[in-house]
Amino acid sequence: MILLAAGLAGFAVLSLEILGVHWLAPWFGASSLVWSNQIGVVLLAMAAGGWLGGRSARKSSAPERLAGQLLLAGGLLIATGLMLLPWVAAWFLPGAGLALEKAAGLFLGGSLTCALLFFAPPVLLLAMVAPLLVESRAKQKGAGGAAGEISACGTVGSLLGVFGSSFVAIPSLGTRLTLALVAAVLVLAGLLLARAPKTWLAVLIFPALPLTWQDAGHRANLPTEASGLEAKVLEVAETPYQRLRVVQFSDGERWLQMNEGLDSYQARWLPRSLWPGGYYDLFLLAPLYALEGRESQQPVRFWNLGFGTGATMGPVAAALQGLEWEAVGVELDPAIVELGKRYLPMPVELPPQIQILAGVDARAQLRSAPQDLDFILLDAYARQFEIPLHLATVEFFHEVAGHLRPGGVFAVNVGSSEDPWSETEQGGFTATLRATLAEAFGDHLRLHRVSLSRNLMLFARKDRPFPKLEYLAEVMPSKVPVTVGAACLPGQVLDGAPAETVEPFRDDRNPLALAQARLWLTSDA
Amino acid sequence: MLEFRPPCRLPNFAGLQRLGLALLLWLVGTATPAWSCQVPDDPFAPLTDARTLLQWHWRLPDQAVAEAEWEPELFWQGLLSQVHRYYQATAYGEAKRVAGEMLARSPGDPEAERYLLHIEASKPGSEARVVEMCQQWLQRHALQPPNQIQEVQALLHRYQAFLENDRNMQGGGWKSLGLPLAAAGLVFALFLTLRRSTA
Repeated sequence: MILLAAGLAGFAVLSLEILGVHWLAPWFGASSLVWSNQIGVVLLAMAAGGWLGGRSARKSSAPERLAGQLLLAGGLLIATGLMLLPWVAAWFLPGAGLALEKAAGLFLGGSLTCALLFFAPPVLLLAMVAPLLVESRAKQKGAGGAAGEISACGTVGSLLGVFGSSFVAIPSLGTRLTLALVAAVLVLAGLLLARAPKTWLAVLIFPALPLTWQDAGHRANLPTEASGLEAKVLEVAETPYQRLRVVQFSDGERWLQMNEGLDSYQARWLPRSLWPGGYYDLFLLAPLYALEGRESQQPVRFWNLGFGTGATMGPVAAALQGLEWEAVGVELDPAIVELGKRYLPMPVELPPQIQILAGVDARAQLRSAPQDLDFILLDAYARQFEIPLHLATVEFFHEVAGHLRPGGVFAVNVGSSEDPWSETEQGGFTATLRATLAEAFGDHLRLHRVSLSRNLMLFARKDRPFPKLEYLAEVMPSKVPVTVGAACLPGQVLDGAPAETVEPFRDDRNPLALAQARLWLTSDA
Repeated sequence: MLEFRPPCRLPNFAGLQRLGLALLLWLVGTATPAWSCQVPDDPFAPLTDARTLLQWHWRLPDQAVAEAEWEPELFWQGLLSQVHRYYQATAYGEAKRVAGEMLARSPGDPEAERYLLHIEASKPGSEARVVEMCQQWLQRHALQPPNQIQEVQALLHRYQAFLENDRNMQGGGWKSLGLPLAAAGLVFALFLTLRRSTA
């Protein structure tokens, strides 16, 4: 029972650390900053709890019973947090209409407050358990032996907490139910270890109480239509990577949102339209540029990294009309592909030409790509606004270039509120990304600003310069949204690498997370 | 990721100006080589798709030369048409360039300043600047047609409301800073209580 209790305490602490961020995500997101808050708070509470546990162990005449009481109290605190956190989180945030770039301060402060109020106290109590169990076990095994056993069991429990919560519990049970189960198990173990009277078993009802009402996270930070009406939630899914939500507006438009939602989306779908809008439409330029000077009669071949629901396919297919083509889409989270098929489907004629590889990392999978692709698209975002670190380095861009034929094109969606034309933005995140691309593609870069958007589209071409912009007037298909044309005018286009010297992002030296966090925090100022 | 902004209402133009410019553009169109282009005859009608916009844009230098030679007094109307079409198509960089050209020829021109106002309103985080520009425009151009005055007043009120909403939402910063400190204080109080009980 002692060793089991040690394992349970370790399991609960790491589960709370992982599940905690998933639980906060609908209100505050799961950015690197939120993760840092969570990990920092949990580690601090563990340190404080370990120290207090040592002091208790010296004083207590019944350390095992006290450990049981702490397990019980920890479980009850987790259950209390299950009930109160949604109210506190929702109160922290304003009503409808908050934009992503206005939310930085609230998200940081809110996630820190909730972590301190709802995760720190139970972790602190649970961290007190191990020294008490060592004290109890030491009578039989000696101090060293007991410490080794308790530490090993606690670590095994932690391992189960990490892998079990992320890859088993969240997809199958969801965050709330998993936390309720963790709380219930702690309460039961605490009652047994403390040898409480059987009537105390009634306390097990407490962790189940929050499950009797709907998960408030489903409707947190819903986007509002211009009329002020909220979007309708069609489905919510929790995956090891994020919480996903499909919302529908009154005109039939659908968004796939991630975590904190707000006015941001990961995929957009309009009924009966090839054109999702926004930066998606500009992916059409990748084939237009790649086909310039192409003499081969072979089918056009391309890869789409960060495939998502296939929102880019409509615009790309419009540019490839009349040509034979084959595509591979790579998407890390299979749940996104499934939700896409159900709620944001691609035009019916497209899927047979696309092979989708779900559940794999883009960079790892790219190594199996052919060496002569016509173009590669990259639209990969983790945690709402962060490009994955390993997909924005010199080394990765060299790998991309290695899979393109001469004249092949690489297209990247960049979420950035910076103005690359402004002198004050020199050396900023966008300039650094361009400098990183330039290491692999030289000066053959082109940036298109997307109007009414937080996005820029970056294009890089292997071994050949981009054609003059007048070329697009000749090859642009008909019926392409006029906003795409706007993004192709000289005032919206920037050619070449950044003029100033900027240190690029590299695999072993990549302050991308810091650069993106700074970009997000300063856009709120 | 995307930001949604409420659509701005577009400026209006008198019929006679449109007729004059339509005539001019027809004259130019017969003299210049044609892409397959579906540019509407009405110079203030929106361009329907990307190809039309691009082909219209790249024909403009020829057109401007023709206007300067044949009908110089309609050159200004041509600039108005350009800034209007660029703005409608969300090509704000080009619209700003043309508005700047208009102001260089006619400093303080109310039409050009009105477009710059709308272009500024398209930028995220521009609420304070838009309010300032609206107030300046209303002060300087009080004799403009009533529909333009109302349009700018409506924009001013809308962006003042945005600013007010932003201020309310931020809550003066006390939530972001004060509440985490208060929460940290509570946790520390718990720690001290437990420390005392284990002393």
